[in-house]
Amino acid sequence: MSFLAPLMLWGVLAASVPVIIHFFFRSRYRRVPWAAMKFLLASIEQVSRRIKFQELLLLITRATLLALLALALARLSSTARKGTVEGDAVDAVLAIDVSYSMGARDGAVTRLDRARAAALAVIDHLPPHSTVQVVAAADRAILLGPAAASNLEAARETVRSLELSHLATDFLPAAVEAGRLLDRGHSPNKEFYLFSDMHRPGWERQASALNAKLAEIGRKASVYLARCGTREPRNVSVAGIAPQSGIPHSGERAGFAVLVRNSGTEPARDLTVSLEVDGQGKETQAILALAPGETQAVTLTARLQKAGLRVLTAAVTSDELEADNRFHQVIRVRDQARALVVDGAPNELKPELSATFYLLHSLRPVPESAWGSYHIQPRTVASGDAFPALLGEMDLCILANAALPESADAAPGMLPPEFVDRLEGFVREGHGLLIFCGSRVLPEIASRALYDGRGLLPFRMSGLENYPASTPLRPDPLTIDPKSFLASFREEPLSRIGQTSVQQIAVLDEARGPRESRVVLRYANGKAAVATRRVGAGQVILITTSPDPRWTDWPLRHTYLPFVHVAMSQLLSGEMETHNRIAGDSLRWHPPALAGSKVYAVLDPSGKRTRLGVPERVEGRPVLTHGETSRAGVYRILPDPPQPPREDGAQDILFAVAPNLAESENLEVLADRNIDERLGFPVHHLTAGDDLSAFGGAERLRREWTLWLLLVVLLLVLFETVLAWYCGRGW
Amino acid sequence: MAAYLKPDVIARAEALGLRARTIVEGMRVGDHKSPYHGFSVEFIQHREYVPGDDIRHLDWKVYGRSDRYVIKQFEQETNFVGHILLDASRSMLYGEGDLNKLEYAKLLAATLSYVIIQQRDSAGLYVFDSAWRRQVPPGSQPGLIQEILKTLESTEPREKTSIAPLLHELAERVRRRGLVFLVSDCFDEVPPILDGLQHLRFQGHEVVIFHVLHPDEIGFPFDGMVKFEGVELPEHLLTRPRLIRPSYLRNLEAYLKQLQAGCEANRCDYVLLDTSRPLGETLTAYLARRLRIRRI
Repeated sequence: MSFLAPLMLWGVLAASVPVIIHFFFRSRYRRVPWAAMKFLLASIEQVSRRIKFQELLLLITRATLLALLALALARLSSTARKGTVEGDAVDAVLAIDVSYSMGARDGAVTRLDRARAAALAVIDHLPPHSTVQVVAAADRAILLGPAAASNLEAARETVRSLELSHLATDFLPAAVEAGRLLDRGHSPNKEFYLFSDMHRPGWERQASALNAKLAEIGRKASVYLARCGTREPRNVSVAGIAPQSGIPHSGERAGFAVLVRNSGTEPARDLTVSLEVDGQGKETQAILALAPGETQAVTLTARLQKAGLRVLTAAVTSDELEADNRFHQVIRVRDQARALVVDGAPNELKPELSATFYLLHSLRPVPESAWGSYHIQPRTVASGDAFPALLGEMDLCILANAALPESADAAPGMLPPEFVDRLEGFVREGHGLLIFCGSRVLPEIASRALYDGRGLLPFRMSGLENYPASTPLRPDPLTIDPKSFLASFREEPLSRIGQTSVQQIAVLDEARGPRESRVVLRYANGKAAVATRRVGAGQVILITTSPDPRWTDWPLRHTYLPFVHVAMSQLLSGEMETHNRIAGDSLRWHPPALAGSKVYAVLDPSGKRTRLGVPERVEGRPVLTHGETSRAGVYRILPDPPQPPREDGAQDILFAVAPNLAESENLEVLADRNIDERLGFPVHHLTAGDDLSAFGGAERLRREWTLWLLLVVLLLVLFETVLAWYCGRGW
Repeated sequence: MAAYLKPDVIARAEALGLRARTIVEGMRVGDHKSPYHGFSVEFIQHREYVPGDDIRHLDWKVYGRSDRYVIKQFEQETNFVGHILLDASRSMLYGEGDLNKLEYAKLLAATLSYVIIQQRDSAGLYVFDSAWRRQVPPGSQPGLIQEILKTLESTEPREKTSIAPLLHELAERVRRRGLVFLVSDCFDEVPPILDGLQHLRFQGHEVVIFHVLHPDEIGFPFDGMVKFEGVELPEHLLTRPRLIRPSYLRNLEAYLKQLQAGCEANRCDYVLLDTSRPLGETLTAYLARRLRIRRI
């Protein structure tokens, strides 16, 4: 219990007024000489007891009435919160869901519009001297202010300026932040509001921790869940863009599969899917119908005219949730992809016997006359001739049956140690490394050289295994991870990779593999056929058999060429992962070492410019980081102050931030009763619809006993009036 | 002294006169009925002749009609004596100005005295409280009025009331039948008063009770906080009159009813005099009623 206006309790002293009046009037009387005393005495004798009882009852009634009136004016309340501030001021925390499901249309407005209106209504009806803190809630919580919690006008402005993000829903961070803010407040009355569409993933992502946190909040504050939006939206989203050809290169019209998904509960019809590059050359295609839950891949092409970082933008027809209708992806268009191919078993006399013969033909599957203009330009060197400087201009490196050095000393026919050293840096900088095993790759030495010291191999090689020609190993396409770069090899015709015969392999010790290593293809006996490992900004792909027909007939099969190109494309696009992020991920860029003390800024999709400053050095490399990526779109890192843009925009470093599509995979919302079942304690459920009267603090009023006390006072007044009339002693 | 003789009251009372309703004894022949039958001029009834009756009173006309011997009886008219008993106890002190009970009673006593004497009857004044205080013996001479008025003027209220013993004493003392007028607030025990009245009636007197009360004593209109101080009793009472008013009125009504019933049972006239009402109205009403009853 507490009193919202405790000073009024002094009014309880008014209960003594009837007593004082009683004794006052007893001392003030007039004298009357009276003859008919015997009648008076007889009357007194008859009624004295009754009169005394009536007087006492009236006195008690009037004193009680005045005391209750004082209690009512003191505003007795059932809130029992600890605090030092008197009165009915409230410490309120408003957590407003800004995940992109809040961008769904609910009638003429969006869910976020309803949340804003409801939050403003709450602020408008807060008692005097209340404080407000506004938290933007998504998969992270951001305290938006105001700086002075008692500045309600600033809080209103903060609410009005709320923007939708492209983040997913998770209520736990907001609950944690709200708990911290409520503890900071001084008022005994605390209220926590969550304005959200009650998206199911938000409740389930960290369910037990969320329930515990809300229960903790519920013990010190009143919890209000304001449902914003009651209609389930029709939604079709662009789920991704997958290249259909190999390495994007300038001058080609490349094919891309735009993945379109219907995450709503109603069929979508007459959709239009488009694809453009750098905002130009839009190509469209229609989808007649898309069933709920269905994903279709629409193949569109885009003309890649210039080399450099390009932004692919795929879009689908507008629906009731527009945040996921556009998808951006940054690709690097190359004039040429330069690959350093290290041949561990060169054979100038019989090139077809060299380790790289079939590999090189796969890299440039065009007539020799066209090699010069082909977009893949390999440079082949023997192991002993590979020196670090060769890597300087390369995009990736291929080790084909290359022997690794046993010691720090160079040995003929082996990769120089300094080259191997440089190889680690080459990969970490974002380049690719493709390793083929072979007779010259000794497992133990290779493991020591590339795994133990430099962390390049996905797994240690534990040995070699031979299989007879009659019963060779064959790759199993069904072991391919559907999400890996080899997913296309699960389907015909590339699934014929399963017909490949392999007679000798390097065995990998998967038991002690690092977290970033994966096996993406296995042989039928479960042994690893292809493994990958992320190393810094780059990637390593290890094939456990040879690149030539000595160990396998793969190079002679039709699936070899596409595999090599897919692998190269994967290695070359690995760096693009840093340029293609999901909303909420940090942007991270390593400027050239020569950038020195250049200052940079980032331009976000809305055009807002944020200064990043001078790159800091991490592990000897300059790096720039930008963490505010809650909105999807294209971000550009550019010099600050801005410099005259080059025609091809080459100086801008592009990043594509996509919406967190986990948000729209399941648009189901939780009903109030489901929420109550999850939480296990009562909360107040409100609906932010067209009528906002529920946000007027009615519940706050119900906590007060004032109305009940006034009702009792009224009844006592009526009782006193009747009693006084009966006793002949009205006011 | 003349203040006690209001011309309008006198005139109205004289017009109606005051006649003895019952049979009284008078010293001389007057207008009032005598208890003695004989040669009075007014025939009242027949009775059967019995040996020994005076044959002068035989009604020969009746004998001629019916062969029966009956004797005529006559009433002898004579004058009466009015005994006016005035209560001058402290309880009669209540009231201001014309509403004062004692002044009102004096006015009534004076009026009665005047009317009686003017019609050649005899009147006497007896002032009492707990005992006889002053007495003006009955007489019919006109000058007696002045003596009565003088006595009234000098009468001041004191002592307590004790009516009953005085009634008994008067009944024993006054042998000749007459009219007894008791002018009092009768704030005494009712049964002894009624016993006294009964004694007077037994002695053949006609008794009239003029019960003088102040309107405050009748209505009890007090408000606020009042301390009632007894004028005869030593008690005083601090109370809110509104609280006990209903009970007081009930007790008063019961007392009045008891007194009235007792008077009626003893065939005494009872007249409640509210001092807020003009005496002329009340007395005239009573005398007219009395005259009406006498003619019936």
